[in-house]
Amino acid sequence: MEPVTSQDQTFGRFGKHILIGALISGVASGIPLLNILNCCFCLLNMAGIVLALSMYLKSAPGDSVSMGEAAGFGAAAGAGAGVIAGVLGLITSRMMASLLTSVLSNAPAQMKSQLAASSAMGVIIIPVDAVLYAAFGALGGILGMALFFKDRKRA
Amino acid sequence: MTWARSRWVLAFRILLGGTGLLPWIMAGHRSVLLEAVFGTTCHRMPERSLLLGGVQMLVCSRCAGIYLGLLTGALMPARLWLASDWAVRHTRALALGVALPMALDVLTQDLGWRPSWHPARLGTGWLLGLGLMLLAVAHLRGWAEPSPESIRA
Repeated sequence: MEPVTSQDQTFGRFGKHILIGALISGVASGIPLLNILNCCFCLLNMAGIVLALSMYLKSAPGDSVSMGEAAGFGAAAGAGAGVIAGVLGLITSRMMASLLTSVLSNAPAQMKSQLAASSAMGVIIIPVDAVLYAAFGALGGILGMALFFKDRKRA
Repeated sequence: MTWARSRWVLAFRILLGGTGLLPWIMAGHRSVLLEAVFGTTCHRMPERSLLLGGVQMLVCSRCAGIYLGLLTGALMPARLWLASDWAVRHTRALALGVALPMALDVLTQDLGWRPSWHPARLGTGWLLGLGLMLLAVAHLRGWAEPSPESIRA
């Protein structure tokens, strides 16, 4: 990765690592069974953001990050993670629904319509998921910076 | 500059406070959508969740405590002693201090030493949510309104 120059102080310098954080948190949160870890204070979401933040700090040894930037980093990566997790959840539920309807070909029509409704609801869940993950992401960004990288904190 | 930063602190408090408020404002009401959303961050086991008006809350009692803590922390005055430079300097110890009671509660409950007890789940969750929220606000406030002491540090 190219090191970030000290002149580049805009929030845009985090772009690539925000995307990495969103991918790590979102994919991990979208994997069935593994996503149970999110029941522990949104652990996967927060861990992904802290990991992405550490990757940024390693790629830019001369740079420091303010708490406001860490919160923004976490919120943006968290929102992305929410969208990715929501899309993965939607795909999983659609697959499960089609599998169930093919296996249970004699299933009552009510059950089939319920399965279709639950997978359709997945689309509405995505933006709400994004807000929830963004909130925990912002908290994770601040706490991650304060707990693990305080020597790289900028006033 | 400081004023603009203070607005970001306010936005953070509104975002986290609003998130904390949601399970409580929805208590006693059913929402299939929100149940699915909160189901991604909580196991929602019925025996570990509170019932209000005969309706299961959106999250388990421990998470309900955490969300209440986030809400309480968002509503508390920013100049509280816990959200101060002292808290910023002792972040690790304070974070450990607020997490320890919940860790003990999880451990003793999941090892089967005692049954699941809603007041303990709610209380230890609230302490964690409140403590972490106040620490986060303290750090953000230090960024938004740096004191001469924090600038020297």
